Formats: sequence, C-alpha cells, structure tokens
Amino acid sequence: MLKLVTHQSERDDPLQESSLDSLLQRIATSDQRAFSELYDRVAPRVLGLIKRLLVDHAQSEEVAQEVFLEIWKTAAKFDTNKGAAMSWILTMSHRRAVDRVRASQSGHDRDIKIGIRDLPQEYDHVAESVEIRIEHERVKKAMGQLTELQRQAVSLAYYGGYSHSEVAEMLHVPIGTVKTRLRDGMIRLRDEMGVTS
Amino acid sequence: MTKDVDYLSSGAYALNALTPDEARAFEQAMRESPDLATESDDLLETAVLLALAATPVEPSAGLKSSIMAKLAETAQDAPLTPSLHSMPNVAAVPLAEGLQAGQLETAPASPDAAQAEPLTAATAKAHSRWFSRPVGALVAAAAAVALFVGGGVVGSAFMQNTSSTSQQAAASSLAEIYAASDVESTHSTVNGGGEATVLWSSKLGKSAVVATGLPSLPSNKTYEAWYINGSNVSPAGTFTPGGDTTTWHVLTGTMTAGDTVGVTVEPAGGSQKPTTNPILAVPSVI
Repeated sequence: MLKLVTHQSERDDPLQESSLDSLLQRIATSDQRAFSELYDRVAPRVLGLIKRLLVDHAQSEEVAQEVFLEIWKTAAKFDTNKGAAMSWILTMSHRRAVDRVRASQSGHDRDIKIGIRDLPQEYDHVAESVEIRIEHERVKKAMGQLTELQRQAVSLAYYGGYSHSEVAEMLHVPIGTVKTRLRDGMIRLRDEMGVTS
Repeated sequence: MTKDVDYLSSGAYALNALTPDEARAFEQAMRESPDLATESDDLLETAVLLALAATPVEPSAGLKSSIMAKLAETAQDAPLTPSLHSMPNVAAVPLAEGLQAGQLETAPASPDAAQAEPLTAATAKAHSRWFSRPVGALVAAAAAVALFVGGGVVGSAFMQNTSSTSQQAAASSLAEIYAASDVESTHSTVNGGGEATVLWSSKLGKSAVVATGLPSLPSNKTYEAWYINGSNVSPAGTFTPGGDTTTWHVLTGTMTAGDTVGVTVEPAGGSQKPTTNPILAVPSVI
C-alpha cells in the first residue's frame, strides 16, 4: 500500500519528532499530550482542506473540531497497514467537509461558479513551506496532464464538494459522462503522481 | 463478477461525489472484488495528494482549547479485537467480597497496560469507561485490572464529592493547560511506586499532576498536592487514584513562578500543612 513520501521519511528518521502514526497509537491510549502534538502538526492542513470546500471560516472550524474529535474517538481503529496517518486524517476531513456542504443550505447557496472560477487560482496562493510548494507543483503538473473536461470535473467534485449529479448539472452533461471523466481523470492523476499499490 | 458500472464509480467514490446509497453499494462491490478495491485504494490515495495541495489555514487560537476541553468527555472506541466480547464482569464478585471482608489491602501499584503497550481491549474498555465514568463500570474496571480490592477507596478524584459540573471544569482546566502556548512538563518517578508528569503553564498560573501506577491508599488516607515556595507551603487539593492506571489532578490555587509542585500522603480529608515527606516534588523551573 502506498505511503506518502513525506511521512515515510519522517517515520524512518529516528531523529525526527514522533511520527504521526506513533502519535495516533498514543492517542488511542487517551494520551492528551500526543493529541496536542498531533493537532499542532496537522491542524492547518485539515482546516485548509475544509475551508477550501466550505469557504466560511467559522463553519470550517466547526467541521475541523468534528474531525479532531473523531480522530480522538477512533484512533484505536487506525491501521498503519492500511496507509499513512496523514492520508487517514485528510480522507476523514474531506468526508466531513463534503457532509457539511451537502447538509447545509450554505452549500446550495454557494455561487455555483465559485468552483470553476477558483480553479486556476488554487495554485497561485502563497505556499507556506518548501514541502507544500513541492506538493503544489506536483499536483499542478499532474493536473496539467488531464483534459480540460477531466480537470473541471475532478476539481468541482473534490475542491467544490459537489456530487456527480451536481457536477453533471453544472457542466450540462449526463451523470455517466461525469463518472467517466472523474475516473479517467483520477487514473491519469494516479499515474502522473506515481501512486501505486 | 465486478461489473463495469462499479468500476465506473471508482473515481467518484474517491472524490466523495457519490450519494450515500451509491457509496454503500460501491463499498459492497469492493468487498467482492480485490481488483476494484485496489483501484479504489489507489484513487483514494491520489485524492489525498489533492488534499495536500490545498493551502494550509491557521486555525484561530480558541479552536485547540475548545477541542482539548472536549476530549475528557469524548469516549474512545476500542480497537477492533475479538477479545472485546470476552471482557466480562469478573470484577464485581471479588470486589464485593473484598468490601464485605473490610480488607485493607494495599496492592502493589500495577504499572499496567495503558501507557507503553498497544491498547488492549481491556484497557480500551477501561478508558471508555473512565471517560464516560458510570460508577458501576468504573468499579468493575478497577477490579478488572486488579489494582486493589477493598478499603472502600473505589473512587477517583472525580467521583468523590464532586459534581459532574466540577468534573467537567477540572477536565477543561487540564485541557487548558495542555493547550497553553507556554506549557512545560517534567516527568519523574514517584517515591513508593508509579510515575508522574507535572505540567504547568506560567501564563495560566495553573498546573496538574498526571500519574500512572500510583499505589491505591486505604480509605483513611489521601494524596494531597502542594505548592511549595521556600517555607511557604499551600495546599492544592486532594485526590485518590481511580481504578484506571492514570490519575490526574489539576491543582487548586494559583501557581507562581518558581513554585515546586509536591505531593504527600495525608489523612483522609487532607491537611493544611504536609505531615509526611513528599513522594513527589517537582520544581516548576527547568
């Protein structure tokens, strides 16, 4: 199973601070100190992802709180064999954010064009670290390999939090077409970014 | 057989773009097809790379303390182990017998699972009980780990004479200290058994003792915390270890810079001045 490179190296280096995986193991034993450290390390990324979908800062913090309490609650079920801690946390964050988008009226009220308009700007924000800049570059490059139609569909679904039927409506194409674009787009991204089992 | 239509959904699934019903159907299809599961896992990992490309956003200062304050009240799930179901109520019987016999048995501290080992079903259960704190369950958990029998000291700092509001307040205080920007801590062994971490925030003027493996005490004794500054010794609250392996106490009163945090064993109810030698004394300056 794939492990993200950044966390692989972190885990392998004994001089580094504790790995996120080992922090999760300690959190599973009710270690609040470990939780505090994990929070400090991942909160900006968790909140950054959620805010990308929800836009509103206060709402995004509410969802981030749900995510962190879920981490606390379910840390014992985290399985290192199934992937890196960061993947687990961000996957959970995205799900929660999407749930909120779908549940709240604000989701439907959002200007449906925001998703599209924001796309090219996504990569122009000031990156806060070399690591994040590199991630941006990798994703930007890989996204550049998609067709325009694939890129739109993937970005609307992932960063916009739209369901396939909403994306279909926005792009005036059948749902089956959207599903195909999402799958083809994700497979292309997977290959471009070297994600393999 | 995996149908093409299932494969068709793998991208949408990874991006959380399916409806809940469709997602469930897709997960069922994954269970039946290793190939589909592999593709799906890969695409989920690919989606994480999209997550990593989102610009990080600094949370407000209040978010962390708000979350930390809720931890103690949030029950944790047990890990997925089959032995969970074999966690019985064994404990109730010996405990009851012990109480009836009026034994005053100070069992050796059991530096049990919670810290070092991976979480077992038993400790997980104990933890979730700890945090939900139903009295009966806590008693059972206490006896299950065989910390002590009898003496009537089945309480924890939270259970004796404390309302649930003050429990929550204490949990919030502990979380507040953990969340403080200037939090410091020192780990040391306790005279007589166990280990303790003292943590404090000078900004907040608060400190707490978090101990594991602290020996339980007979009912006529209690642990008492102190702020010690030269010859100035102020009582900072009493506490007794719960049945769990971890006991924590947020000191009452205000810590001032340079205070030593001490713990002694005192007669039940506590003392105004220490009557025994400290089993723990930690200066708040490193």
